[in-house]
Amino acid sequence: MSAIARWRRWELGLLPAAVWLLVFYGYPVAGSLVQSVTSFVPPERSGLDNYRWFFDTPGNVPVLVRTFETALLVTVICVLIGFPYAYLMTTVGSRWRSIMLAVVLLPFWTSLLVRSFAWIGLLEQGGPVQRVLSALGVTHGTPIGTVGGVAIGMTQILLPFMVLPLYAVLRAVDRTLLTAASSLGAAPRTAFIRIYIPLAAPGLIAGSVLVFVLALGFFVTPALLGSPQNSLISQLIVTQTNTLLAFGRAGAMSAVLLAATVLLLGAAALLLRRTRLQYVYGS
Amino acid sequence: MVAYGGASQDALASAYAAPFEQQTGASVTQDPTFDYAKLAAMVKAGNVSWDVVEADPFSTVANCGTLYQPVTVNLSGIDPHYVDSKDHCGVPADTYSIVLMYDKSKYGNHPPTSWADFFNTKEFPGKRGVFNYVVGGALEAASLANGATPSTLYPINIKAAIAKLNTIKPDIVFYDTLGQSVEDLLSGSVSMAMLWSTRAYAAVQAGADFAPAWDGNIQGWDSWAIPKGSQHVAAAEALLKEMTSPQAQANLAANIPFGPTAKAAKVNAGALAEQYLPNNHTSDAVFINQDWWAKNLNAASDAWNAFASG
Repeated sequence: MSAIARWRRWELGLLPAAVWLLVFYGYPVAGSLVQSVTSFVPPERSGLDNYRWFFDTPGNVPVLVRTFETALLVTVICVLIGFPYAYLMTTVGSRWRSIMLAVVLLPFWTSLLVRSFAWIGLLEQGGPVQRVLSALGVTHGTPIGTVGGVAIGMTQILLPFMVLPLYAVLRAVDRTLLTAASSLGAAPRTAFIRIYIPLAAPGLIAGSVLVFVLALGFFVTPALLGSPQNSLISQLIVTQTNTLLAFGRAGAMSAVLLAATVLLLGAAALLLRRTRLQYVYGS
Repeated sequence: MVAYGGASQDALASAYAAPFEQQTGASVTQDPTFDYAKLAAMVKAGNVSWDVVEADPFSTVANCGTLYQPVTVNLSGIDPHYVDSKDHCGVPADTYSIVLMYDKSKYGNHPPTSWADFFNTKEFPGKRGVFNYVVGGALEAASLANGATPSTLYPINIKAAIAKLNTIKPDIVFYDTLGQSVEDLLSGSVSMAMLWSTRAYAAVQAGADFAPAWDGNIQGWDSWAIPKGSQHVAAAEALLKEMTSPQAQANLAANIPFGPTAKAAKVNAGALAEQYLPNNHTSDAVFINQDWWAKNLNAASDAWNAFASG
């Protein structure tokens, strides 16, 4: 069979997904991009005015930067919690593994809005968390209205996106390689860092990218658990579309967010490829 | 009938839609998902499934003829405080007031009495609840604290108002939903707040130890309008007319203390709720200038976002 015929068969399999993406992702994104250079509210008039507005109006760029910082913070916390958790899942017996999987999946099936409100109930002034903490002698304000509150809410919501891909990869890691490494004289820590982490990398990368990109689009959770000082770019986009009907500005904001995301992920992928080559061919 | 759902939409449905259905035999469907972007998309696509929407007056003023259908409902029975002569699309049906509420136990014998006191954190220390919404009254309150009088309030000096707000920013606790404003009073997260009179009433009724200071209370109103391209314009206009009826408005106010706009409405809502009716506080009120907001929403919104999220 020729290579082309094989490729065609592949193509057929991808067709439904491609059509779905084109209709429900490509078309609206293209629409927003077109609107960003065709739809204006005064004082913007033509051309790239919406983009000029975005960069000239105080507040926009700091919120964009904050969006990436918050997404990064949440991704790091998800790795710190998700990695040990997924690792533990590969070492326990099947019964505990099912329980641990259910613990991850159950909240996953609950609406994001409900979970954000639940956190308000738990964390609010005089709420159960604060009562327990003050009984233990810790008198601290509530994290609601701070970046801490936002990070707690977003981490809980996004954790499954870290744990699930990570577990899928860790499960397949051949642990006898670690035994082999130590039999060749590697200390457990060295074996873990030099052997286990590189084998886990695809899961870490997949989980991190998922969590990071999803975090960039959050708006309900930071609105409920944060203050406007923690607001993310999506919240500003919502104001532009829902209050001001400035679809051109919203399109420009989304385009900037999309471009920044693609650039950042592209740079990360490049960096990663370089370090991996170094791993293989370097030292 | 498209509004924002919850207890208020239930009250609106029973005050306006139920008698209208009984009188005309028409049936009114409730939709709790009002959203300006959705309305704009419907009108643009020429596929309008909404007939009567609750919209802010600054929106009906700004978009009359483009998003909304001009209407010919007779407004002579409406209190002129709540009518914008430039608005040919919106029908003012209920009023609210943005009022200063303060913690009674905290300020005791020396309570705040004006917006100037709201901005005076030395004499009146404590956190302030402020709606994170540019048309939430903060710019008006700041201007009044800056010395504006009801007659010089508009045009608002946005820059000066934001500068005034910045002087108390460390003490501001923003709320993002009106429900949150009630929670903040009940949980004691704030010692003072500017909030909707209906929510102030709900908080006090639920046990918040707060009292209102009505001097300079900022009154606005909710309008109802017909989306451009509605399939049932005649029936929709009849429903709008029902919304201006004193009896229907009084029925709404008896349920939730939204003030009536009809001069002849006689509200019987109980002493506590009547205390929170905007209509009983018009003499020391300022009225939101919808025309100014229609023209300046964009500029004010940019300034507000930079202030609140900075």
